[in-house]
Amino acid sequence: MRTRPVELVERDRILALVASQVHLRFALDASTFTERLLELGRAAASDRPPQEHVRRLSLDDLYLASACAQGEEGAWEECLARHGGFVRGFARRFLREPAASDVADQVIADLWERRKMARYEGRSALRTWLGAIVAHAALNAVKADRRWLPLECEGPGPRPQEQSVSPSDVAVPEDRLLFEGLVREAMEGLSAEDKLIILLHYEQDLTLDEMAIAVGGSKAGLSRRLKRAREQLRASIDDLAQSRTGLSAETLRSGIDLGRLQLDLGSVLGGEMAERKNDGAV
Amino acid sequence: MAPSKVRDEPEETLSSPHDPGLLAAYLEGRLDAREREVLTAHLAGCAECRQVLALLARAAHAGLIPRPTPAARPGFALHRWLPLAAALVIAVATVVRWNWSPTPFGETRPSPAPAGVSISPPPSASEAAPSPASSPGGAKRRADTLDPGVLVTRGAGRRVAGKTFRLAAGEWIDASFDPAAGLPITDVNGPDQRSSLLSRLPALAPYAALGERVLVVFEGTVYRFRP
Repeated sequence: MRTRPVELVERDRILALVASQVHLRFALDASTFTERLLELGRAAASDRPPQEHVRRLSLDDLYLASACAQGEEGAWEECLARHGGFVRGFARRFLREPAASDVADQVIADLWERRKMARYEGRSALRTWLGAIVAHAALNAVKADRRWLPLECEGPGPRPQEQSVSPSDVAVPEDRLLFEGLVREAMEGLSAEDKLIILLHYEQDLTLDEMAIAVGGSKAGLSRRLKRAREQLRASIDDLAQSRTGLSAETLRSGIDLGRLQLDLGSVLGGEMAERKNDGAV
Repeated sequence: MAPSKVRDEPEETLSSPHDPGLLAAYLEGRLDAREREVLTAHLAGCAECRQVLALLARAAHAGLIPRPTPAARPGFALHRWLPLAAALVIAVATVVRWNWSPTPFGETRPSPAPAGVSISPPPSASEAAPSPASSPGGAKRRADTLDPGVLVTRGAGRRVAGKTFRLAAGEWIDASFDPAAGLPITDVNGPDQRSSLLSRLPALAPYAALGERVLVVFEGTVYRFRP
């Protein structure tokens, strides 16, 4: 009895996935779409069957994007109907007009006219991917023209992103530079995960709810982890300050305008200062 | 350190040395452990990607893009414990099943609940009593007091087109549904409304095919299919 070649078995399994999860509504047929999925699956991991990768993809979104990339007008109409408003609205969340409309128009034009939709590989929902594209494009626009300050940076009080020291700041106290250096060095001693949650919280100003979405895990777990990382960071800065200057970090930072530090260490350590104040220790 | 699959995108609006696809998959918890580790290291050193991730997280929190399902998001470090936790759950489930099986699993079927029925069955008096499972033999007594149908329906889950659904009181409910999120709800009653919606949003078809009563969160809106 002859066994079927592995390639055919893999193809059949992916075809079955397509049949069960995709509404085939454009000229792009199941067979052609399956070939693309096979390519993606093989490119993702050579040591595993491609269907393992394909099973985890957002297949219907990928089908829509693939049909768009092939230039199917009907697919593009559906895509615009479902996501066009989101692209424009998302750009407006953090850019002023007319920059927001310019960025949204450019993203849409690139996706359609330059067939960049083909870069979507179905590893997330299409909408999330589009959000990442718009966010990247908006940040590039901000970099290109500082007048387009992201709206999400505006608010009742200054946000950490705005607290960076401008190059025109000529009078930079030596202590502050030293302290910034210590902070950076101490940050390098954290694990990548701890460093990321510290930065998402204090640099990007995410709440615990938003961080739970960004990196996963529960709010309570993240809160504990953040506290531990903050304590480790503080101890590390203390050690570094003692070894380099003979002073404690507290003494060193006492003469520094913490509000102008690139990383808002005032928040990192200030949170504990406030707790100590509440305890009557300070 | 750049992630292994980061690609150069030299053109205008998509220009970035960082792959938006990976960031989006990271947000949705859809990277494997190795990819996630590499991208976490990249994010810890790349302010631009952190900023994009933060913007996406805010958008997901606001319901503009899909929120990751808890099942898909083990979070830092937790994934290391998942195999052990899964084994423990299976062991406990096996013990409970051996000690208590008035009806063979799979035979009891939930009857369709009338409209307006609560999704989760209310706890029985014995469930609400203070820590019945904490005493010796508590777990056994607790299992004895539960309606067998509840156990079966709670255990039933299905993964469709990237989403996980649980069957509760005759309704397939998207695991990412969070009643507290305050997302707009669209009721889809009867076959006419169903076919009209599906022709407009065909991507909902695989979810709607689960049954007559389906609740699915899709692109910031909750769709409630009813017969």
